[in-house]
Amino acid sequence: MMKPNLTDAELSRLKQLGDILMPAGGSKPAFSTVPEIDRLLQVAAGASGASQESLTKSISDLPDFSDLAGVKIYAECVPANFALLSRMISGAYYMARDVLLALNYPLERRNPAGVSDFADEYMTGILDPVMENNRGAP
Amino acid sequence: MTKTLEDVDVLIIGAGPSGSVAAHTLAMAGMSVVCLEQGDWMSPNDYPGNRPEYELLQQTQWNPNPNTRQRPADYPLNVSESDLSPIMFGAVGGSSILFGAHWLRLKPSDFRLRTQDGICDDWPISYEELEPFYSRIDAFLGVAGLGGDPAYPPQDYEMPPHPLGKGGVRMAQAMNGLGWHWWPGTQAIPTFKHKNLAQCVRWGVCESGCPAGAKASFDLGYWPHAVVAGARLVTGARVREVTVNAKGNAEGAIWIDRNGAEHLQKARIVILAANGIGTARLLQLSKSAAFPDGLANGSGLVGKNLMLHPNTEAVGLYDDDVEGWRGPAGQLMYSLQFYETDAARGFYRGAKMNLMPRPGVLSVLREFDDLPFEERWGQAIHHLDRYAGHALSWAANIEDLPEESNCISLDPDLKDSDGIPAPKVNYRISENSWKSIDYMLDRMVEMHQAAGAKHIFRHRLWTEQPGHLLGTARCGNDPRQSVVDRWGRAHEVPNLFIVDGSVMVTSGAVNPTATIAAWALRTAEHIIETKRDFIG
Ligand SMILES: Cc1cc2nc3c(=O)[nH]c(=O)nc-3n(C[C@H](O)[C@H](O)[C@H](O)COP(=O)(O)OP(=O)(O)OC[C@H]3O[C@@H](n4cnc5c(N)ncnc54)[C@H](O)[C@@H]3O)c2cc1C
Repeated sequence: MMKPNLTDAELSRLKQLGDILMPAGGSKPAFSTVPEIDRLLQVAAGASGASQESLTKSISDLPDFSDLAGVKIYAECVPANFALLSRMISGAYYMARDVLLALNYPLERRNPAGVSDFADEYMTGILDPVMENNRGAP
Repeated sequence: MTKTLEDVDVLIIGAGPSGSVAAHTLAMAGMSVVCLEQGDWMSPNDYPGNRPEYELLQQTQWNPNPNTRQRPADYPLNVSESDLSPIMFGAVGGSSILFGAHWLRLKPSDFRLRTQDGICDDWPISYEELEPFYSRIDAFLGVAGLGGDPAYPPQDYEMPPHPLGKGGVRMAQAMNGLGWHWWPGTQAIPTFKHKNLAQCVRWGVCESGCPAGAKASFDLGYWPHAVVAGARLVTGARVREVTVNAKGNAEGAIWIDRNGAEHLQKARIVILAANGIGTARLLQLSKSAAFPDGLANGSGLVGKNLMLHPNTEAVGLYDDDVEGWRGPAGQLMYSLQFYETDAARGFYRGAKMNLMPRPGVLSVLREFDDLPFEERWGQAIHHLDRYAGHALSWAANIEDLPEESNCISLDPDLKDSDGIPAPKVNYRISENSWKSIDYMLDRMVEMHQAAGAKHIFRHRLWTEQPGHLLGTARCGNDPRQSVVDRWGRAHEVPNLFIVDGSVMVTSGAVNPTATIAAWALRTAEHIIETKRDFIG
């Protein structure tokens, strides 16, 4: 399956919806102001599992929203469309470096264990109660 | 027209853990071995886990459910009459490409349920008979763990366990407070570099393939060694039938290549390693005048007694940072506190529980999907997403008791990409299992409470887990009550062997691959010892 590609108009519609679902809050930016959000939306579209055709249709069916109450009505009427688009929008938002930084979520998740990490935990005696009481023995 | 290929000593169908262990062992003994695998080689670069969009890909192209993924290398399943959607993966390495690598042995009691609890049947072999094979596979793969677990007879590992981390230590203290058994997770993920396996970098994405090449999926853990030993692996080769000769012996298999051309691979010995669904399907597809009900099905038990280990889960969200993003996932710890039968609980047998980290933001937000819309989206989301990295998941792998009504059959309509009938799964969770599910779920909630979780979510049943496909060609001494004997040899077809989870008489409650691999090694060595029976 070819990866779908979003047009500028489609990106604008999604950003409008995104700003309602994910407004600015705390140190996190509003959806449409996230740096590189257009590119992240394209990546999310490619990973969404949806075909170009179904994505185009879902986006073109979006009404104009002014607030969360309007989106709620839409989500209740067309739950499958809402599930797809909100998944893409959330996916794009939480790929963004600024958002992850604001969440204190590690950007670099690669962290091999140190040679003595487990030994250090073990030396605290954390397993002693399990062994002393012979727990789990049949 | 079917093209006939040169005879070999051994033909293996399926290149997952069981097929790879058999291929390596037999090729090392100098036998000529061909393995046919419907899928292809994977590369760590294929896997989504280190890409920013990995959480989306895990729900779509990398979904564990073959019906969702829809890759031509997998076959579809009709699950319209099943409480669970079995999951698996067709590739070199089989479902271990996606496995969590939780690596546990069955307990001695698992082999003797009839004797001990008066239910089901005993296995024709004991823990002690399988033990040396468990140990040798552990050493070969570089299994990481800590010896001395009082829940088991003595066992040890060459590779130290992975650290518990913040979340694991917190839960360990809670378990100690409750007075319940726990033990650091044993996994087929070497802690440090081992043979061709890289060091684990703890991305925590093990169940969508390890992008670091650090998990002992069997494409890495076994196949390279099997190929060096001389085993020949043919990919994109989908077997549609095991053929028999006039004497009723297995003669070989007809398979279809990527271009749709048919081939007949002949062999003196045929080994089925296509998993608890694929093997039963192949036996059912292999009807002949000598075997009108399917190959080796004189007992009528081929496809029956399917056991799937229903899983139940409690997710805890913590105010403190529990490093829920840090792998392996994998298991931080397991508990066998509620493993054995306790009559006071009102059901037979029990569960293995495992604590796993919960990496990602979307996976944590999904826990809140049942909230009213206004509490899930808009400003509200900023109060929910702070739990990313703060989530831990306890899951219980419930021992599933064998029932003939839980079964695999050939679907009359559904076909795979080569037009071969796909399996239909009839599977209902028994009353015994439901009681166990509810009991275990309550205990896991107590564990999170003891550890101070702020929110606890109960998922009574995971419908798309856990890929433990067992029991559909059980072993036993009595040909009327079993499909294969204590060595995995079909009672009715002396040169046909089964090495995957279909042979399991009962399911135990631990993840099954350690047992499947140990069984495959034992069967392969038995074939070597008795090869004169087959090969002049
Ligand atoms: C998401 C997930 C997580 C899991 N986690 C764990 C875990 O933590 N611990 C654990 O112990 N187990 C786990 N499992 C289960 C584990 O993967 C299996 O027990 C193990 O892979 C079984 O090995 P096998 O060789 O019997 O079958 P498989 O690995 O399923 O291999 C069978 C192979 O046969 C091939 N095949 C089937 N039919 C045909 C045909 N007609 N022609 C040609 N080829 C065919 C398939 O393509 C496949 O590659 C998990 C499974 C999944 C899916």
